Amino acid sequence: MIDLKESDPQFKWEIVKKEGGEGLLKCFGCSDCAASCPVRYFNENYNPRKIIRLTLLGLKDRVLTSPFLWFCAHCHACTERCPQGIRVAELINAIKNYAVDQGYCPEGYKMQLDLLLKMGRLYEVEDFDLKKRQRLGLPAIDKTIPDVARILEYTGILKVLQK
Amino acid sequence: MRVLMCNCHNSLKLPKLKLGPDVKVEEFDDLCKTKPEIAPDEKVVIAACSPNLLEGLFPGTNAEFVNILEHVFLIGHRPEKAEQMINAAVAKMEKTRPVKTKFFQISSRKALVIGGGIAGIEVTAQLSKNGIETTLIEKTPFLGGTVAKLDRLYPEGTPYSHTLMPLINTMQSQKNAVSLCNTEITKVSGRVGDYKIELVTRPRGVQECINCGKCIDVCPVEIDDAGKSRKAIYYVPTYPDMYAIDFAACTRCGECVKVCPGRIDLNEQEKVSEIAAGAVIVATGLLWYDVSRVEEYGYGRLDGVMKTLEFERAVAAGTLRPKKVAIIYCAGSRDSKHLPYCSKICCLLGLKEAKLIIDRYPDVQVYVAAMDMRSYGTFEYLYNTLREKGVSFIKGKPSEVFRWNGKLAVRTEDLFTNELMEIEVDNVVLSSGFVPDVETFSKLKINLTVDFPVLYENAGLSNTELPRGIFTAGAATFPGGVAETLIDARKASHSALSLLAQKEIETKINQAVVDEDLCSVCRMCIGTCPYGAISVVEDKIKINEELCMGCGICSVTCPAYASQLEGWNHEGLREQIRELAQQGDIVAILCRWSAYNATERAAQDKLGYPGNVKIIRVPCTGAVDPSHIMLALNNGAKGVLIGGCYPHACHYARGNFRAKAREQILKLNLESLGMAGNQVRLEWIGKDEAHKFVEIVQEMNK
Ligand SMILES: Cc1cc2nc3c(=O)[nH]c(=O)nc-3n(C[C@H](O)[C@H](O)[C@H](O)COP(=O)(O)OP(=O)(O)OC[C@H]3O[C@@H](n4cnc5c(N)ncnc54)[C@H](O)[C@@H]3O)c2cc1C
Repeated sequence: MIDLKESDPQFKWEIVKKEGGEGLLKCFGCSDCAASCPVRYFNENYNPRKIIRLTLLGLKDRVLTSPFLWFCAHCHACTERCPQGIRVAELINAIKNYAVDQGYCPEGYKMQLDLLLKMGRLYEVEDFDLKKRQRLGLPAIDKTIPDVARILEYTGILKVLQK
Repeated sequence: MRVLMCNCHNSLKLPKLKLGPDVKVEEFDDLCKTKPEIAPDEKVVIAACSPNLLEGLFPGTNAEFVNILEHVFLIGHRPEKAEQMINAAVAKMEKTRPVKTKFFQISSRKALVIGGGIAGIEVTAQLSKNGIETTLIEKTPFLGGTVAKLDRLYPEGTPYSHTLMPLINTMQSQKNAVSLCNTEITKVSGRVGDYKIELVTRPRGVQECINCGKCIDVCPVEIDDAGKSRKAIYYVPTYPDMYAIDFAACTRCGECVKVCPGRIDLNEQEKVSEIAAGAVIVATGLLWYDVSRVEEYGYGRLDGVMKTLEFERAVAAGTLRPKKVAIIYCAGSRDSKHLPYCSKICCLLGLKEAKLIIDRYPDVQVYVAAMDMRSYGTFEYLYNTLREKGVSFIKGKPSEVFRWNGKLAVRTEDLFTNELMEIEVDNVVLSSGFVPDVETFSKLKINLTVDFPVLYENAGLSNTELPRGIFTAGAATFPGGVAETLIDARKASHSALSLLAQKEIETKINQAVVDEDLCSVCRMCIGTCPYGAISVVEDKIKINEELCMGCGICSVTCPAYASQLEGWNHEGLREQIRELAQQGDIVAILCRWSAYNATERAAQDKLGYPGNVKIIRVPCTGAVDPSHIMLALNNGAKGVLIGGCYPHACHYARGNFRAKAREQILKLNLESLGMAGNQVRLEWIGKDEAHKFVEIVQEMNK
């Protein structure tokens, strides 16, 4: 049951203020986004309409702790179809950004960030790869790209995730 | 100059005011009941409550209204402010040109009705019954419009002909009524009470028809007419009672001429004629939105996807026998990419088509996919009936219609169960919306920037204010069912009748006047007029008094200030600003339709704002000249606020956009002079947005 005593009436306004969140209040719940969503097609637990609805109701904890928030594949099918002109994928992004600001970030993302910090890449380049490249006549590549760590620092994400 | 002041039964009590030497104050206990005499060309200042209340009591008076109730008294500002306001109003009026009264003769007591659907037929019947010679023109070969294409009419399920034929017969029995089919308007000139309209009548190809039907048997061309097939020569059982050739489809093979020599003429020429009319009634009816633009629903791309009208006709003709049907609501409606509004009757049409097919074939499975069901009024009963007949209503807007392995299917989410759903069907019916007839209205020089005429009327631009003698009836006003259409048609008839019953009409709208000595005929004003009221006649700029609505946009566009608005000419406004703007003031120049009303709301709601906010009322932000703003700043004003209607709500179509462009240029200029551009602000403030107004002026005061 939804207990609106838990609702935070400010939540929706905070999302509206975020880049990408502007359209939130236009939603009239037609569910075209949910019906267009390919992720939802394979996993019924993911539902952009439901995320928007819970956000509008101010159920902040439920939205921010929900693993489904992170399922969006950014294909923008919803954005294209939304009759109210909401950039739905951007809206989900705004909610994700808000979640990260508040300290909710899935472990997987943090692990990826660690990899990026360490190597500047998500996939480790091993000797095997270098040999294969050599065989194909491709130039060798660096195992690490230290500049990426500097970029990450510059963007402020390290502060957000307290690294 | 007389200043008429009202103390509203001692409730609006100010101490004795120090006013200019030439001012004669007359005090009233209740100005609204006493209604003092004001001569037609006298200029006065009325210091009392809202001009919105008083203007109607003193129609056509040359008065500047000073709202001491809501701009001083109720919000607790000091009486000196009232003094400044009244003195400024007097200064303005001294330099203001009085508004001329205009008379338009009703020279032609005839009417033209455009569109031969039920609305046009009913208007023609009503007018001709009341002695008005009325010509009805219909662009197709037969009267009846959309209703003639239907099978039956809900809510009752009456056969279409039982509604249509009595209307046609009543009209036909009137000796003052003439109907011309295959006819459209080409050119319109003149003015209210005296229009000249050029008509073109396209060939029908058939004369003195005996309705034998032999031509249909031999015609080799078969075409689809909204869901029903017919030949290129055809018949619709309404009026006139004879066949017609659809020349767009006809190949001129001559087969029909062979079986009916002498009566069919494939080389008939079109005829041009001219008629005079004092009033024009637009009844051009339902115009579909092109639903193929809603690409995900596949109209025109996928077989089996059809519109409501096509479905109704095919089912009625017995050529369509589906087992499963899905009806998709709001196909392109309430959608920012297509029609942002609700067309109001499509929900009813969807319910109707569901009932039509279920009544005929009770085993049919019908799914209605609707994001909302708006079965207003007694159409709710139809909705109830259909649930009881077993129709499945699915809440949710379908995302797409597709074909997979040869099967047609609709994908949606069912909001009741919260689950995705695919519905396999034989036919998909799209209940799509309707659009305003921009083409006809623009021929009549009516600028439909606010969608349908009904909204145009709401915007205060109604035919009563705008003495144009052009009325709308039926679905051309806004989509509606048959009952609503007929009611609207009767209302339009009565408005037209009361216009045509007069010998002349008298109006007193503030209009633009051009000073020929200043005008260099540069023509810049012509393009800025939203009404096409300005033209060049004999090398001089002429303002058409029937068309000018008094927005004042041209008076700011004119580089020589040659064009000026009666009641609001620049000299007067400048005097007003010069008197009113003091050191450190915020001067708020506000549109009379929107932002000005918000200030009154603020007083009524007891929202306070600082006493240095001085309010000036203008017809449109498009009439605010940058020189007015500069003058206020020169006088020491801290800031100037221009408050107008929201972008799409301008009462003069696009005055607010003009104001926006000018504000931006002015800001750049101010900055290049080393001044702060943000001293000048243009804001959209709705009628009731008192909070917004107060927030803005407080911010500007910081
Ligand atoms: C599929 C469908 C089913 C419907 N079912 C029902 C129902 O069951 N019950 C109900 O109450 N209502 C129903 N309606 C609504 C009903 O059709 C309208 O209320 C009615 O047709 C409106 O009448 P009208 O005269 O305003 O417009 P129309 O009937 O559309 O007539 C307009 C006429 O003007 C002509 N015209 C257009 N432009 C020009 C021009 N430039 N010059 C000259 N002539 C022009 C057209 O050719 C047409 O003949 C239905 C509508 C549709 C589309």
